[in-house]
Amino acid sequence: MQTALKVQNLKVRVGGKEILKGVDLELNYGEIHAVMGPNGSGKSTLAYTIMGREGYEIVEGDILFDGVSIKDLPADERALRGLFLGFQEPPSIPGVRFSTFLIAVINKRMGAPDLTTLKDPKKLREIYNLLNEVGLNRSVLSRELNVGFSGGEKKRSEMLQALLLDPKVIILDEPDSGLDVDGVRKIAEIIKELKAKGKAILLITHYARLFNFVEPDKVTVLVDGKVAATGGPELAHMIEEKGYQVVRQQ
Amino acid sequence: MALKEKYMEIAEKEVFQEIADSPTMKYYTNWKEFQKRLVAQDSRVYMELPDWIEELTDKVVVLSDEVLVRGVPRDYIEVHDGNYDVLKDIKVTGKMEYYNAARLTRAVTIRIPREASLNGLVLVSLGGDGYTGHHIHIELEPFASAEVILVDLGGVGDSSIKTLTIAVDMDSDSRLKFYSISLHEEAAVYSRRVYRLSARSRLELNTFYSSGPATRINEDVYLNGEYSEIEVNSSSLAGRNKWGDVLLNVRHRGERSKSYINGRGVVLEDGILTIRGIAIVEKSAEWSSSHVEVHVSAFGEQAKGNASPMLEIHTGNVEEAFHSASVSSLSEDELFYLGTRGLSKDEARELLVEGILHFSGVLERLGLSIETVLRGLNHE
Repeated sequence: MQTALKVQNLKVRVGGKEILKGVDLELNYGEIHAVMGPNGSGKSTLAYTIMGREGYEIVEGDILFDGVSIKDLPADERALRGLFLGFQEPPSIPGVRFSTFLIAVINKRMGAPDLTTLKDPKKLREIYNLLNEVGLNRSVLSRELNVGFSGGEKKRSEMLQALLLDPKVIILDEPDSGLDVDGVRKIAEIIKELKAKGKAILLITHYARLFNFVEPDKVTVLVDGKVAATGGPELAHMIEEKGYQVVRQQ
Repeated sequence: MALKEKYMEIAEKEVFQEIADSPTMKYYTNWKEFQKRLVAQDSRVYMELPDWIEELTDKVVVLSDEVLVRGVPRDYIEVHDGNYDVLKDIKVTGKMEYYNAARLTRAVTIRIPREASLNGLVLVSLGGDGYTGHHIHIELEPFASAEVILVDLGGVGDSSIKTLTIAVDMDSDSRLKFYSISLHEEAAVYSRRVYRLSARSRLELNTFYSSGPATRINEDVYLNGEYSEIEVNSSSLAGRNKWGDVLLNVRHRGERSKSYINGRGVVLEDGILTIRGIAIVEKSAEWSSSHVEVHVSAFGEQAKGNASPMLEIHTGNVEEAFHSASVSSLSEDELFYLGTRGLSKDEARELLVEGILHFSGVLERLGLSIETVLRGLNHE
């Protein structure tokens, strides 16, 4: 399988504090790579750094996307090259309707100078179909972006965007948190669909319950900013059974 | 004594304002700016009707120095001269409102019966120089239904003052979708709009305000009848050297009445914008529900935004009461989020500004672009 993303000896400082202390990770196309770890282990920092968040200073190491370093690119350029981050808790943006937002990001990808009028009207049909697929009502389009969205609506909205924007690499930060069983099952189905399309998926999660519905190909466990263990799905199930103490002792 | 002189005389003795404001709020409106411009001068409305309005409809009523009616049956319209007593339609208090009543030059009353087909009726109040004023009164009969678009264009010249009063009376079971755009350019504007809803009537009020150097808009809604409903979606803009003060004020009187007030605004450079959403649920309005949400986004080191929600409940039984407000700029979280979707910082800011200005749906309904609005009154 072709390598999509390569994280090499990544050391990252946030607010003067070293959070990632030399992380290596390889993600292939058509693969689900789970990153697990206890609270504060650096999972979200890894996601944010890959995506290019300001204030996340890379002090050593590199991030290669399709073999090219992206560590000096701003977030928007990484996104346009094909990286996507599904947020654990996406921010609310009052005043911007969900439809307005979707039109802007679609148009940007299509190179339209005007971000307000949908360049390709056929995309509207696609949006309606995807709303149906992820289980969101069409009325969500007239609501403001993430304002008053329930936990489930936020997750589904993030998955809708992952499907709509057709990125190459999809990082999902705790996509199952706060969901009921039906919600987790739905998210798992979408992840499987994305994998079937050949996307490279980095699945960040604290718990392994999502893996009851979608099995990862690889698992990397972070503890205290370092890779504490790597393995297959059996590693995730072991952690689910015995807790992170297992890898701390290794 | 003519009405004009009578009102001028009363105005001199009145206090500056006391309309729906609490005393602590009075500093939000730049009263001194209005006072400075209250110099009597020959007033003349000479703006031409913008082409984009011509393209919008075949049913139009234009108020300038005269009143032009086109495509609307005369039975529905009554045109009044400058001596129309606006106090018949709205309660007037305070110095500014008496000045406005005195400066009224033209007024119309539009009666919409049940059988009327007036969807897309456009009402235009043009501005000019000096101190000009118009008044529009709309009456909907029981079960009448209409879509009305109001275009309020400000004066020309930086010493002009424009006033526009609106009174809307909705009889039982009537429906009104009201789009209102106010482009105030160089004029100082004081506009009072009053809506009175009877039982089971429903008003959807979509507004867009582009502030002038001193714009003051009062939207006062009275939910008098049981099950009456109002939904307000409002977009406001205050750009460089502009000062806007928007009051979205709903008073529940009828049982099980419902209000949904959504005010959004953007303030740029050194502009100042205040949006106040106020809902008062009177004792008689049991089992009513009220939702007040106002947000202002400020861009520019000297931009000032105020967002104030107020909820007063005088009954022990309400269905729902919600209020929230914020003044913010784009946060680091929001910028990063939009960045991960491929938008640069400038585009993220543009998205937020445009999102807020499109929020009310008025620009879409009128087919206007933001560029047109920001550029002035040139047509598309």
